[in-house]
Amino acid sequence: MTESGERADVCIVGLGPAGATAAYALTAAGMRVVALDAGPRRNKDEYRLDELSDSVFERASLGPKFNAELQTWRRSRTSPTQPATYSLGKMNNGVGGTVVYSAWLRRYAPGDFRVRTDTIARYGEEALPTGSAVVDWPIGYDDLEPYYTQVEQITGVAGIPGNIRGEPVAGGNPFEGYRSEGYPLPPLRSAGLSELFGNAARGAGYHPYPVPAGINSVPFDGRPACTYCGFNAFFGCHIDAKSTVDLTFVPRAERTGNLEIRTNSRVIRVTTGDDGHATGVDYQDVNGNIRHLEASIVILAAYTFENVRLLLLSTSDRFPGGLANAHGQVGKYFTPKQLPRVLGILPGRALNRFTGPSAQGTIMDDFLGDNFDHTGLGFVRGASMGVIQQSQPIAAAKDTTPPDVARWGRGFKEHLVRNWNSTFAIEAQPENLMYEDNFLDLDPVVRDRSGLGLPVIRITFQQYANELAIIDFVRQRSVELMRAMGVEKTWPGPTLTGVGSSHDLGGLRMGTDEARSVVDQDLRAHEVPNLYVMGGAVFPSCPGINPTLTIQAVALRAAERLAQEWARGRGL
Amino acid sequence: MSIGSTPPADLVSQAPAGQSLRFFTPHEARTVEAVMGRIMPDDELGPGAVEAGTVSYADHTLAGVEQGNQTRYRAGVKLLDAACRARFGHAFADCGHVEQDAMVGDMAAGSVPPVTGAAEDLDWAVAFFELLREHTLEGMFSDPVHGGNRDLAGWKLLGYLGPQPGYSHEEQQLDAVVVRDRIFTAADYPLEQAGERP
Repeated sequence: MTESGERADVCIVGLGPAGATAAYALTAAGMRVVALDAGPRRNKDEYRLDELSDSVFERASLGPKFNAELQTWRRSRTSPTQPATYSLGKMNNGVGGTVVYSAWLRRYAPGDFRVRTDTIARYGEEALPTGSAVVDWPIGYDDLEPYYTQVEQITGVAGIPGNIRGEPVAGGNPFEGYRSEGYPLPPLRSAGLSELFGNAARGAGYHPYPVPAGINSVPFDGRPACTYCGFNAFFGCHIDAKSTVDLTFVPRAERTGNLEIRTNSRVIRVTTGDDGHATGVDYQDVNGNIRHLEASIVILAAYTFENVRLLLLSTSDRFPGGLANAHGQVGKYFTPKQLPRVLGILPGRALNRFTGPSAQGTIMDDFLGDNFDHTGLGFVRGASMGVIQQSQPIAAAKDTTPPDVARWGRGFKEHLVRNWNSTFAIEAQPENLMYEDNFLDLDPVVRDRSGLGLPVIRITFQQYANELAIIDFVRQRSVELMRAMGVEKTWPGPTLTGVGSSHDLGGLRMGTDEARSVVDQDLRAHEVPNLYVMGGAVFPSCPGINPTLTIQAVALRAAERLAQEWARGRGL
Repeated sequence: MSIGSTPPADLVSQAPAGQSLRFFTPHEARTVEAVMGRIMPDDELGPGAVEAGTVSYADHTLAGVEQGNQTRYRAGVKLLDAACRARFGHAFADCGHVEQDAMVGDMAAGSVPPVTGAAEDLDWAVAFFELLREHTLEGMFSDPVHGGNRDLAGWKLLGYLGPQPGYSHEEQQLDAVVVRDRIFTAADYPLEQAGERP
């Protein structure tokens, strides 16, 4: 059913960090935006402090759509297919997108945008692993800096800057790029564990700093300060102290009067005309009816898996292999991040990690990217590493047990009772290079349980030697730091933590070469001039840093340029 | 210490007595409870899975959000009993703790020999153990609204205070003792008065 006369300037598919940030810029420029989100619009009272039902690592009840279309996974083209596994948890659906995020809002470093150039310059072309697909981004840190700043200021990021306009700032991250402004809020308070880690790291000559967090360290923007209740990452915040885009960018866009939000509206394909332009989207509304929305511009801003799936499902005579896929690039150069940990016990100490948000942690970038000399190490790139708060009973009970402790029975129970409040981990976020053979496509067999029976995304992913070597290296550094913290017994968590990580990047690469990428540097599809893609799917690489802030900065830049082009009235 | 909330009456199963079981047969409930009691035994450290009502949790869950796991339980109990009869001469629930521990250990290690020769008899043991372990831990440590953690036994065992409204900076320091007058549960939210916040 097509509603006659209904037409938006812009249709945004998915009102998460990418879509909401774009909506903010487009509506401010006077464009009429209709945003379709597959989930509801929740308020804080709907977020239960219930680890089993609400956390994304257990039942993930905030993601019914995601749960109905779980991905499948195979290690290689010839491996058997099995259900996907998830390291941090599953994604959720609704206005605000990842309202369950940990709100670690860290910038990528300048070198993260030119990995190929810098790696070859320092170590030679032979340092790039066989089968890898390492490229520079088509935009650099200088292009994004103003947008990083804008997103940080509107969000209300709490932290200690490391580099303001080239001047180092004590206590911040000395490896970060220059910033034109400091953080708008002071850092979250420190916890005992983070101080212990920080002291050990400084003692070893490293540079620990507090996680920059999109969490109110003090009241901000009409919302209260965090109470450190411990239900933050993996949950929605029940007092709105966590700054998610439903509380920041969406209300600003709504105040322009130019944003209409349709909730429980699940887009199923992008429609195209005879001229190859996008004409709008088909979507299933809250009542289950299939409707069409006409739009001059379509922006796909769903999660990585869904952005890829929608393009592959939007086939037509003109686009038989999926939209914007004439060169077979849709789904390529994908990677999840792995989140390896080393666990340890501080015998008899109470860490009280059941308090505070995960972002109330201390991290260090000394072994991230190319911040250290890799000569002779046999791998390129690295990982950030640190300690976090937020441990809950089910997660603690299910966590990897030490090798000398049985997983059941009296010994197991004694381990839990005695050590659950004395156990912590040094957690690493390693970079994962892109590889030719790690990619996404549609599963030829498995269909979703949405009622529509559409194919789910199939992940083809395995870890390669370079990334295994990074993990091995940071585990050794982690054990050294834990010894300095007073830990006697350490043991590693899994090496493959999941093929869905909440940091699932690539698949719709941003680039200048039309045969090797899907969208250009302004996020416009090479093959469809009025179709844009926003979100982590466009990332050409997967640095060891949380992606949301960069997703927003890249989207904000692209949306501003789109609005400028619209104002000039050409090209569309 | 008083309990913050009481789960709805319909979630409080009487298993394994049988009257209010939603999915398990009485024998299945008895068997599952026996396994869970070996995974988390009652001992001098505090109550175990039986006391925390984890079989009620599993029953509630299998009748609700995890109906997809029903057949794994139904088949698992049968295979477990068959393996026990072959080895000890009686069903799992009728074995003593020493025999039960030997069987659970073999399940966890994947070393239970096939007993029926049927296709589903090959890899059942490890998968069934992992499922039982998962439900044991969830039943011990989840909010009581889900049917387990009876009398907050699991949280008390750990000294966990439930979802408290917040903590002070001092309480986040190493070795800080956190004292509250009661354990909170999800049913305490949303908080009615701002005065409940620290």
